[in-house]
Amino acid sequence: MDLLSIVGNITIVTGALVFATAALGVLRFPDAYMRVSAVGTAGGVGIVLIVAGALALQPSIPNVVKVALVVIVHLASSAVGTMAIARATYITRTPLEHFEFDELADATPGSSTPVNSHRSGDRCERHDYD
Amino acid sequence: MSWLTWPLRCIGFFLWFAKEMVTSSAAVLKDNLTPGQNSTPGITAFDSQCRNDYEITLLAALITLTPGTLTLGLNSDSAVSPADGARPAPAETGTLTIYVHGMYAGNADAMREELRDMETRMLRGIRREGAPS
Repeated sequence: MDLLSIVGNITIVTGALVFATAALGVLRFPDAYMRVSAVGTAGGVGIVLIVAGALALQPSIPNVVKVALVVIVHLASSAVGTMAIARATYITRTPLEHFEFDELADATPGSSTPVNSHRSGDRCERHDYD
Repeated sequence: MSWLTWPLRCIGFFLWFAKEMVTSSAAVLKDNLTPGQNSTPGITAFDSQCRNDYEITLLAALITLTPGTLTLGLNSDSAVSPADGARPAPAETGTLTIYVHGMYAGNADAMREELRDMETRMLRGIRREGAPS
């Protein structure tokens, strides 16, 4: 066990833990937005940590190039994909749970914050889905 | 002179972002592992200081990658709308506004402050001439 392989193993386990956190988040977070957020982070950062750990276990120049490509391309595509899903979530009026503020509804003419009508609470009026 | 410090500022921002990932991961993890939900989610409108599509794309992607925050959309003509209704080029809009879903900020102004901090650091890192004053 040299230092590099210890670092590699720690990095890989950290990446796996990030994924476990995301899975837990999908189960425990109350609405779609937070779940997208949890999965988006894990999809971006978890994979990068695991690939970087694999590089530390098998260091070589070609592997450095491959890992650099994976990190750049993956972070970019993961973030953009997450934003596309998040945007689609809002456009399809998926309800927000116990939110505190929503300035996107203020900026969208003729729109109100999507909430579950049976427990919309006192923050905003009931929205009729037409 | 700014050419010399540019790579250093870039690396500095990268390290700060890595630190930020760890701390906000810890916040999300703590909320997940302890009973109940103490998140205060909301959607904030953030008027960025980004000048073009590259900067605003990078900022939105970094916000999405940070645990607990999520970019929902971009409004490029919220600040200045031309009278004829044509969509202006980004350089002419004045302000690019992004809408960010955040979990733990508490209110919109606190959220905006965090985003402003991150944006200033990012622009300091990626612009050769440094952050806007």
